[in-house]
Amino acid sequence: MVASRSDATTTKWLARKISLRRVPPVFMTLSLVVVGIVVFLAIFGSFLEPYDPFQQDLLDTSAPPSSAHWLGTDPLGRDILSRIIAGADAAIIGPFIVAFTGLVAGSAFGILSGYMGGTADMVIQRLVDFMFALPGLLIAIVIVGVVGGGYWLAVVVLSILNVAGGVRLIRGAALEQRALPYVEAARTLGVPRWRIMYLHIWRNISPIVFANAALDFALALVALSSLSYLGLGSQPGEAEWGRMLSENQSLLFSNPAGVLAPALAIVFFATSVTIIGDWVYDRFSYSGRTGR
Amino acid sequence: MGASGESLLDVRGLELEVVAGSTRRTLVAGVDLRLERGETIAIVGESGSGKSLSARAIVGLLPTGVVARAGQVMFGGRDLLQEHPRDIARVRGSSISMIFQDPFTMLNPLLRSSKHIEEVLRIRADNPIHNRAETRREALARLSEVGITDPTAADRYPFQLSGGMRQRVGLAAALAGDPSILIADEPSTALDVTTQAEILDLLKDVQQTRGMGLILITHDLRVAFSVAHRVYVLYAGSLVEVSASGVLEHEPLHPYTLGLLLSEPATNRRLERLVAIDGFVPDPDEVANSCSFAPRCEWAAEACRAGKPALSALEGGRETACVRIAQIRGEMNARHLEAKHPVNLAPMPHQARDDSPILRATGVSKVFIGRAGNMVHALRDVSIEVGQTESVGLVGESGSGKTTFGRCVVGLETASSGAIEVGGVRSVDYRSLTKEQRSTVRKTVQIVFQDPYSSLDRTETVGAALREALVVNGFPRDGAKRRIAELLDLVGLPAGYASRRPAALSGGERQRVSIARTLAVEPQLIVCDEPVSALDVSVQAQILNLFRDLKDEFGLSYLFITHDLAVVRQVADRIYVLHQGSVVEEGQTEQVLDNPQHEYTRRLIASIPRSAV
Repeated sequence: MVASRSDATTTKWLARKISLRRVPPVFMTLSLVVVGIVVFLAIFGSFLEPYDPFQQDLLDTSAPPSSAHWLGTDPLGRDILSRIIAGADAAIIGPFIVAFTGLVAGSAFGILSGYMGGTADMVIQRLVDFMFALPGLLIAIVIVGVVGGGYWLAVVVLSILNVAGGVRLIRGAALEQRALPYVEAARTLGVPRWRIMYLHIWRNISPIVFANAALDFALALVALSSLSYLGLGSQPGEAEWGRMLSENQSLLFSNPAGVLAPALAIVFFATSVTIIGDWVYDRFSYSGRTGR
Repeated sequence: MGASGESLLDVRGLELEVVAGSTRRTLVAGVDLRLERGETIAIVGESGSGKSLSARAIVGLLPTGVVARAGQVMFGGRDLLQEHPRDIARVRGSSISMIFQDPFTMLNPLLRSSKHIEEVLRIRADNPIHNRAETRREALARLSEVGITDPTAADRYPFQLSGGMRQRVGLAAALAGDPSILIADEPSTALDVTTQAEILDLLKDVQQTRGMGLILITHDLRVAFSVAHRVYVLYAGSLVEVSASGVLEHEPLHPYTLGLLLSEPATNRRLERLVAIDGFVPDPDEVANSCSFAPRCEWAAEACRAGKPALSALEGGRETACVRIAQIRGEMNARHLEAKHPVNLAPMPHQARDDSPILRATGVSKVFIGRAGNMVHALRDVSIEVGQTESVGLVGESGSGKTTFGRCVVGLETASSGAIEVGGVRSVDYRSLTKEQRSTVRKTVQIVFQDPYSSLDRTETVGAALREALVVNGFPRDGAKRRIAELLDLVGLPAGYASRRPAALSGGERQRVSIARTLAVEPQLIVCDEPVSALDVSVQAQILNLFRDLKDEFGLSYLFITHDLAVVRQVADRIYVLHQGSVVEEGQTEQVLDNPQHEYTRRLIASIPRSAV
């Protein structure tokens, strides 16, 4: 057994070093910059917008980029740059709520299910099975379509639908921790169950939890944008990237920048968040010794 | 370097390092190996010594990121380090092949055992066999060479074979290319004691009949002595001693080898105190410019830290890296002799059995429902008692149920039938106990696990782990800090360790923290589930001594679960031998080990590796 440990230690050390390098520093920096810009715009955007993003100018519609309108104007003559900036908070708040709900509910039910086992596990897992059986985005489209749409409704529906995946993932991680000696030692020492679950197990699997939340965030951003694109999310007039994409479609030839801008904003932001989530996981999921 | 002419394999000045980004870490700092035709050499070292990596470097199987910084691997007139990976792949399997420690992952789970051999036969460059039936017949012949004569075994999948059988299949596959060198990396370590001996004998046989060169990598000097002609002792990435195994056993010429020999618990007698080497193996880079053993060596002097000593030749082809060997040789020999013939040979006095044992298990059985719905009897009608301040050994191989029993005692597992009485609380089902009763059980019995790496929560400091153990058991919060320092002191760690995280501790230190954590509740009985088997030999002795000291100081009782008969002799007053879930023999330690009654106990004892000389 001694030897296996020595090999394992070396391998783990290597795995860590290599995984740290899996996300090249350039991409990591770029991702942080992109996320930083979006967050900054969401907070201070209203001071930076060159025009009122909702102000229509029917005399200057579908204009190509110019010194007055850097990204041109949309079919209603609104300044596209201002609308991109104004859309930053919708790109953050909704996905954040979806990811956060997934993080909290996923951790709570996932750890409960994995650690307690038995009836609690049975009930929670059947519910998860049921939710997995539902075609997620389709349900969202139907509900939002029937009830009448709206950004917040879409956020709520996505938040609920998103929980199941987190529960299943975190349950698996908790099951793995449950069998480890440090958990069993805590049990024999009489450490209360809730403390084992939320202090020991949660802390040990938190890299997975946060990485999953980052992934949820990116998926929610894309899903919300898709719903808005279909006209089911944000309402007409609201500055939201997905909605802008559909509103500006007709500009494809007159003002390509007007269509590309919201599209690239969605893609870059979603990718950056995913990369950061990956990095968080790689950086913190290392277990074992790090020298002396 | 007595041999003339060309050696079968000649490794010169091998240096390995791991490169990750801008950081480089030395793993092996200069290793020279020589293997003659028909010879067996052993590379012996503890974890972190670089023994496995050195062997892997020979066949070009270094893990990603590890590179050879310098050196030559001369084989058949070529330097393998310079060869293209494609050419080394051709050497592997045909000229040099390798078997690994873990028989459970070595074979492809989707291939029947004979296929593993047929595959190698088919890809041989000199393949004389062309049709399927012939290949199959040859594969069966190869299997019988390694002792698998039952033809139905050839058609089984790896999961249907025992660990020993898998290791045999792995060996047959490694031999299918008729290599001139076989590298065996801890081939017996993951196996049970009795199987271990069979595999080592088999290796020895095969090596002799085929006249091939064998490189055995092991952490166990006893294994090395029993199989190898010559032994290379590796420490922290550099060779410290090279010698024929017989003379090495009689007279080690490096303080590290001596320490290793002495800290090996004796199989045949109980020692007053085990000899331990203080501290732990350093990083090769930390000792790059001094003798690698100097930080732990009691004889270390200025000369040892002046530079990295090279191996120097002594009489009889022996080599040592100790620069002070001339001065300290006499002293070392005296120390060795003294340990071999201890003044105090008397067994530890045993207390009389008392009427109120701490643990009384009667008729405990445990049945697991297997995967296919069949019943697996882990324990059958086991009755075990542990008295006040008594240390009881529970000996058995894997699958004997010894760990299951320990887990039942502390309530991690529930017995199917029978009763366990701990500290006056009698239970059939731990879960049916009241809160108070559970608390009584907890304060009476605690457990120390085998794996020091996962026994501690890595997100929590040592202090936080101990504080938790104290506080949940009603210790006042304001006194906790002082108590934590006391607990650390009891297990021989400085108080400053409270702020460290497990990642900053060595295996032995982690095990000390685990012990301190159990002491936090001041139990009367500690269930020790293989507490030293994951540790290096030199550290193992430290921990065994600690167990003894704690027993003397607090009158603790132990239920010591182990597969290692040498360890159990050092710690246990009484032994129970468990075989397939039943107690087959019990009695005083000396009585059972020196005069075993049951056939199974005899087999266990007979399979302890002994040197060939």
